[in-house]
Amino acid sequence: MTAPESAAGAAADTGAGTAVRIAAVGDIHMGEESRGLLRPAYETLSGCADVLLLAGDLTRHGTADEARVVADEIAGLPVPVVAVLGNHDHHGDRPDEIAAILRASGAAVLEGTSTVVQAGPYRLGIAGSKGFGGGFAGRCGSDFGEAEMKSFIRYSRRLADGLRDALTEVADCDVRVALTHFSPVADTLAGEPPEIYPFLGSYLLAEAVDDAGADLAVHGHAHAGTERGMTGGGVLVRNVAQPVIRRAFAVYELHPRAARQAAPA
Amino acid sequence: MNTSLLEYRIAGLQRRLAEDGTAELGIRVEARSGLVLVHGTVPSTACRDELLEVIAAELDGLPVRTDIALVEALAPDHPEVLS
Repeated sequence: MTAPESAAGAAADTGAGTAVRIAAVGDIHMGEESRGLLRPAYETLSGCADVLLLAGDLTRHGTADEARVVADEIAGLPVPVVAVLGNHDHHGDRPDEIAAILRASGAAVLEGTSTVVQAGPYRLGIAGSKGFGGGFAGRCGSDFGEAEMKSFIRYSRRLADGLRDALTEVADCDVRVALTHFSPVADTLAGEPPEIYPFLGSYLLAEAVDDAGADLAVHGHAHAGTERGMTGGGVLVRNVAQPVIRRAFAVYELHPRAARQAAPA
Repeated sequence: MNTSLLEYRIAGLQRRLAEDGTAELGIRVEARSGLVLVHGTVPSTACRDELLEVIAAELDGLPVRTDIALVEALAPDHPEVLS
């Protein structure tokens, strides 16, 4: 396959050293049948990105065997890899084992936690959580009624609180990114049936992002959604589900706050 | 064609796609005039073959059109510069 090399060549050197270059993809849903599919493109990352973010649903069924396929796909890449898990990665009821397999390949796997990556002269803080559903402001579930309903909403709230805390941990970084699987906003769900929005995301994630602050929020999960959105507080949101971006990954260039402030008006 | 029966068969297909091993929650199944449309994107040709088998079994006897794309695995040719 030669196209990835030429594609990365076109992206190479743009923003290197003057911007933080974030590659991201979610919903790669790997199994034995897709082994090696993404590796040729990933090997071009050194020319176009400082980090690769994986926005969950890395496996099909959440099995250890599938996680090992993902681990092989990302092992030894030229840029750091930071991941959150998705609902598919939980389906086998062994998310801790999935995370451990990915960590053994060198990835940071976040859940209510953060990590810092050096991107040229800049410190990039990444806060991650799978997140969960519940819906969006004015059209969402409440912590009320049956135990199952309360459990649903409390789980979503707990993960959003974890994201808020993790973003706060990296408040001193030049650039901060919130990485989730479920969506923080309805914008990037456009194309999905509105009836299923409460299963695709929660405004609690956006509220956490706006409370703690971030430069970008990246998520997956909504295969039929759209790429671009924004939180109520003005934070850019990108849905990087692979069927949406239609590439092995998308690359976003962010210019750190200090550089933006120093730029002439 | 019994409309309610069709509705339940579509729901049954979607339930099976999610729960019975294919794990394809992103596939849309819609009743259109005179046929059932199944569309979406899957990660591999093996997944598409598996999906088509399930569709054929679950919607046997119904007119079906499928539009199943494969994910694209090329690197991007340019970044998006965010401001």
